[in-house]
Amino acid sequence: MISLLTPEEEATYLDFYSNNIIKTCNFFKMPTQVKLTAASFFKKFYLVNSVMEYHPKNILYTCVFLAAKSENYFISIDSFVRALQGTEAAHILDLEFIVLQSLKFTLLVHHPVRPLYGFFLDFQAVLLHPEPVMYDVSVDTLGNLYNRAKDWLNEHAVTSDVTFLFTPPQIALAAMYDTDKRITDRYLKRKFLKEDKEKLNVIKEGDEEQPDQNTEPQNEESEKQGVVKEESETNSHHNIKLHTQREHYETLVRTIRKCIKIAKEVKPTTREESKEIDKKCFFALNPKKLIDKRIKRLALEEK
Amino acid sequence: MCPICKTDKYLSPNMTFLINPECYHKICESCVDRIFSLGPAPCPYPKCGKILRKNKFKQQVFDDLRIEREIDIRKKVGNVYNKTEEDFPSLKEYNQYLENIEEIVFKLNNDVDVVETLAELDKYEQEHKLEILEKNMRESEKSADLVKYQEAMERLKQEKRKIQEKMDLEDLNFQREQQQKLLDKMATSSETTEEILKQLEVQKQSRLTSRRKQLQSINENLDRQFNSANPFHKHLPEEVQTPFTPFKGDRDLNKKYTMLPVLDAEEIMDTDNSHGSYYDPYMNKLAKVKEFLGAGWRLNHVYERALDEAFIGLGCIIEQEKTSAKPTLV
Repeated sequence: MISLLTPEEEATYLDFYSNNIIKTCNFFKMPTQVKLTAASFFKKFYLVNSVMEYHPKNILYTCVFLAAKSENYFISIDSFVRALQGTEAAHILDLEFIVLQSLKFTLLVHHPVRPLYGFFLDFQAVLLHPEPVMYDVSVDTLGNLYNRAKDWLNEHAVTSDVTFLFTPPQIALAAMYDTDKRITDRYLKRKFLKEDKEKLNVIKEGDEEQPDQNTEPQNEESEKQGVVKEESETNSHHNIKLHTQREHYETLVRTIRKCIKIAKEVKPTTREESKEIDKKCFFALNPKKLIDKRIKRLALEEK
Repeated sequence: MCPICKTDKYLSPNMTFLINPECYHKICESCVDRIFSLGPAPCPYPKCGKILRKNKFKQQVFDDLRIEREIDIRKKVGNVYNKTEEDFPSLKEYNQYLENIEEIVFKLNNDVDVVETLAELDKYEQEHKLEILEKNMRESEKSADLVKYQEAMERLKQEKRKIQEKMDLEDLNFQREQQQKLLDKMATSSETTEEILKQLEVQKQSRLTSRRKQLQSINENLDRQFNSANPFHKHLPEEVQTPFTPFKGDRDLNKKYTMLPVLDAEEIMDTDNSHGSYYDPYMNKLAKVKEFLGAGWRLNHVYERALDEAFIGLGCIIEQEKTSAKPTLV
């Protein structure tokens, strides 16, 4: 019997090729935008197709070529193919429409890169203006953080599945959060828990490492008490607002943490491993060869 | 080729075809003259036999005769059913009215219950004769207003042009005078030529700016006069409208962030002074490139877009939505 690939094998196989996308794009010195789009196209293509139908090698080049076009970084097919060994222009152009069809002709991809830049700007607005909030954070620290977060995105977000599971701003925040938890957490608190930020700050100084599970209930209690002392009419309204705010913040942080976890789960596939899978894949792609082989063997046996 | 006299386009290149809205058969002009000049006659096409009149013949506008026919029907129905949206208390009723019209057009166009429909049309016309007339009057008044407006516009333009010409003439005279003065001065005065020239240049500049201001104010005055007199001006909506969005209320009017003031290109210093604004040396450098600015590129747009994208979909938790949504098979 012909042995087909298991879903796990297919996944590892594709991971190997997604890494190749980055290499290809770097080879052509393409902008990050193109790289991300190409990776996204590639992953979306194999959501609806199988490696046993289309070999990833040419699909990969087609995705890169298409992404370059759709992101306005045009290279002509001739110069593109010249740089690639063993690929002809017809290979790519024939697949182009199939890829487009599998993408349902949706070429616009939202990447976490611009949101990341947006957050870099908003970090400045929240943490540095009107006056610096944290004694050790300056524009340079934030710039540094931004650059490292960009690297994080390049490393983790391109190849992993997070783009399917989280919105771009969430991924951007995850990048920030994982590069510098302290600053990002402070930002999120200041941004989304405006009402009780003063009190939180006091508590924050003590435990920077610890997640806020134990401090939060306390804080809410004290906040509640403080509110009770004030007018009783606005009390409930204020409380509800506070509550939803806190809930919002907590879900956001939870989402971000999950995003980081998923992004980091991907482990690099080795060349040997994928070669192994490639062999299996070969006969699935070319059933005729398999039949020929069997016939030959049968003929030998008869002799 | 005309099917009746067999005249060819090749032999008589300027022959034209006419059609009659009774049966829409194509007949060449000379045949129409020949057959129908003595009064109504049957259509010469075999098996048609409809009685046609010469004055109903017309040139074909659309290549496709079915379209030609539908347009004619629409015109006919539209003459009777000529109400506009303002005549109805609600949009729904107006839509109902339009629907009704479409129904009639469809029936006539596709030969469904033609006799009944025509009778209905006639009945409606009889019943609403006065209304239809009134409406027609109003429409013609409106178009008369439009004509008046256009005339006024034309007059305004002429006025402006006249003033411009007059001023140009004055300028020319002034220049000549100036030239004369210069020569005189050079002959008599003790100052050096350069000084005199400089003086004159300054005078000229100041005159030029004052002239320009004068022209502008005159133009503005004229515009104002014109606008107060014209009846169409007040129809323009005055309140600022938000752009159309296909989804109700997807426009986020209270944004999740407050933007810091963004400096203009001139204000950005080479040193990284970012007091009160965003700090990004790369972008700030770009903000001073004249080519970009000339093309409409602005620093604050860049910042705004990045910030917008940072907060779009931040509160959208895919996991939650998936659990709460009903399981649907894809």
